[in-house]
Amino acid sequence: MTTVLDQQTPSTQAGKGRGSSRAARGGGKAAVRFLTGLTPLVLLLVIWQLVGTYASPYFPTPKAWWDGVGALRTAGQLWPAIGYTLRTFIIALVLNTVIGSVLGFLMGGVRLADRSLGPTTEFIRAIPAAALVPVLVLIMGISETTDVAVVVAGTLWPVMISTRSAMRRMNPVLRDVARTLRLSRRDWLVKVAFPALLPSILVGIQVMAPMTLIVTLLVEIVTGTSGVGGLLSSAEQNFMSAQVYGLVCVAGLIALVINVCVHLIEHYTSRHLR
Amino acid sequence: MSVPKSVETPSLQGARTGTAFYECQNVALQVGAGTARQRTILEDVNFTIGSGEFVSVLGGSGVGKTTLLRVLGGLHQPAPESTVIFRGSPVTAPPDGIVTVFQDYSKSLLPWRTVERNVTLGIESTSSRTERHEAALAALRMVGLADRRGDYPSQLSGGMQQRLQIARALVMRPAGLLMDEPFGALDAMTKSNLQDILLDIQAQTKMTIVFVTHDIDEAVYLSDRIFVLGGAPARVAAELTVDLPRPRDQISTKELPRFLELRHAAYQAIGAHA
Amino acid sequence: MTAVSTGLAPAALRQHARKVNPLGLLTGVVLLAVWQLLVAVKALNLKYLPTPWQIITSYGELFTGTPFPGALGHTVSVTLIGWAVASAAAIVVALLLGLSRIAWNWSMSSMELLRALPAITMLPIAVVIFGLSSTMELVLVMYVSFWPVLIGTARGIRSVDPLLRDVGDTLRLGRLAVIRKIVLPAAAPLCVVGLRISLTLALVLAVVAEIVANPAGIGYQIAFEQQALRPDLMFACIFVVGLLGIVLNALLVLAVRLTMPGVSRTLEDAA
Repeated sequence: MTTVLDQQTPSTQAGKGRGSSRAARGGGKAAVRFLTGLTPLVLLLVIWQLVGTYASPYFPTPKAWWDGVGALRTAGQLWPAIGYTLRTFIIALVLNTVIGSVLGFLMGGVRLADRSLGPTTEFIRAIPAAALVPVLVLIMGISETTDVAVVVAGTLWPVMISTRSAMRRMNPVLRDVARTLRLSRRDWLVKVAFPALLPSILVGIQVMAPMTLIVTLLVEIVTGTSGVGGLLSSAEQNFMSAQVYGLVCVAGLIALVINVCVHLIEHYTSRHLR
Repeated sequence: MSVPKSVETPSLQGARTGTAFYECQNVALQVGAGTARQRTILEDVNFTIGSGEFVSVLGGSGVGKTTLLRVLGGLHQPAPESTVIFRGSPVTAPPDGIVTVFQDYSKSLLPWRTVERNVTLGIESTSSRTERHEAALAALRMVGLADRRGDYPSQLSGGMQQRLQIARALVMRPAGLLMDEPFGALDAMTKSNLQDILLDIQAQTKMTIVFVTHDIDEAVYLSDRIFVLGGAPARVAAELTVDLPRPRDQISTKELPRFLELRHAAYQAIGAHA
Repeated sequence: MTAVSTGLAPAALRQHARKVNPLGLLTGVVLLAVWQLLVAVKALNLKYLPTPWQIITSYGELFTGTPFPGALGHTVSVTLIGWAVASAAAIVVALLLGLSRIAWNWSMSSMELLRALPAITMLPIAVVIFGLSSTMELVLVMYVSFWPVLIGTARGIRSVDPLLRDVGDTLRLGRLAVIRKIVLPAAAPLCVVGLRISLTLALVLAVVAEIVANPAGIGYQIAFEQQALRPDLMFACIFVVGLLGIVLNALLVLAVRLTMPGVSRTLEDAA
């Protein structure tokens, strides 16, 4: 049993040489905690399966979900939908990163740009993407372009914000370095500014990625036409509740995979950038 | 200087009957019991503290002074063979009449409460609003913070924050104060100022003070007796009686030959058991 | 009495000007003017793109000629009720989890997993169970408000410095007093962050539910105007939603500042 003392001053802790093995043991403990923490969820699913009715219109059993999604797979609808969602997600992600970092760079670096564009961007930021979907659909029609446009409008901001604040916090010495070494504008951007800003851009992407996925699904649900969201929408309208639950699990899995990828990217890049 | 009525502690009665304030025999403490990292921090610690005494616990960093203080304060249980008796009763929990003043003053204060409400934290359940207000004012006056009672801790300097923590302890009208390197993080001038404030308070209230420090000059200047803690596991390596006259003065006391002798003895005691 | 003390000195004026940011307002107006111009000269000629002027003038019709005022009331009340109920529940659950290490270890990853599920995907499930109704909308709002407050409060409780528990011990505070006077106020800043996030989400999900499923509220008004091919009214509604988000958030911050000035301070100090 750990006592209060084990958390106290460094002088009461074990010597430095034992640090790495303790870290490994800490990782193992965290894994165990993760698994035990899943117990309520697992229990819930098991009880639901045992107690619920397969064909219930409100609470179909987990097996029914599996079959519902299976039916979509056999009908050849599942994978194209997942593909569409991922495609929209990735395009929006790339656009967000590019536009967001350029905007953030501008607003962080040029005080005039910041003060003039600031209120307008604040205003646009306050409008939830969901509310924009119907009107943009009316103006631009239903297409992948509209979907991407809405997602970008709604989720551009985290990267812009983190780039902007990184620019403003950037070590002023770096700019002087550029001048002393007579670096060309292009060289300074590519060799000094970009690497210095990269960690913050990555942080922004980490925050933005789940948001982008959410808004992508949201747009698909509202327009009801394509992607996983579209499948969800039509399943709901046709009262196919097992399919609805199953598709929600699919969406959750996609979200999980994206989260893991983002974490891995952050893990690998941060090691080299510190 | 007259003693304000509201701060004379009721514990004075106990002092005059001659019961030892603290009596410790064979105090021992291990950490990591039963694991491969088991270490004995304290072993065979024996001492007695009389009522109204100012006792310093002196020793190098990490020797176990804080540990011993926490045992006295009932914040940590020693090994079963230990005997820790406070005014005739064994210590199993924070004893009535003892308050601990911590080293990390800024973390021990509540940043969302004003100075005055920080002081009243311990007496809110036991007194009315007017009683609380008067007691808090009296305690704040003793430490010289009465005019800052509406401010927040973040607005105070380090020395003032530590004074606030002391006032919070004083308002509980304790029989004894356990202080864990309270002035360690302060600059020299603030330190000597606070030392004198502490001596004033002790002269007025006749409290018993157990004062942990690694500063030899401070220990000699403030105390009636010094316990030098040394060795691994630590024990009371030496006990010095400081027979310097009171009231003490930062300049004249420190120029007395007796001060230098005691200082010398303390250095030797520490050096022999480092 | 000098000009400085009356706040009319040039330095004071410049400070005020900086807060109001006339340049920013000007840029916004210029962008609107450009939009107006491009549509007027047919350079931007999308069939259903209205001009800023059309949007502005449609507000009169929005508030007098449509059921918008009632719709606004519906959306605001569903948002606030759902958010308040869910937040209160989340705080209680977070307290139970935060104070018991066993409860925490045996449930936290389940919570994290459920939280990672995009709230929007819960909408079809809510429709399946509750049908196309305001109950569905309320339940969805409650579901989406629950998680940020739960996570924020739980993190806040875990963030309490262990030293403060020693302080509670040495000042002889009972267990309930420690929770009330130390743990809760220390957890409050992170809890308030969670409250703000969930309030924003609550509004968004309410509007989405109204667009897609529940024929009531601002969202339904937007969908209705889409059917009626009135993009000017649609934009008018949309801007009200944006403004609503800002106002609700500001009211929350104000409420925190008025009821818990000490906590509000720690929030600002940390910012």
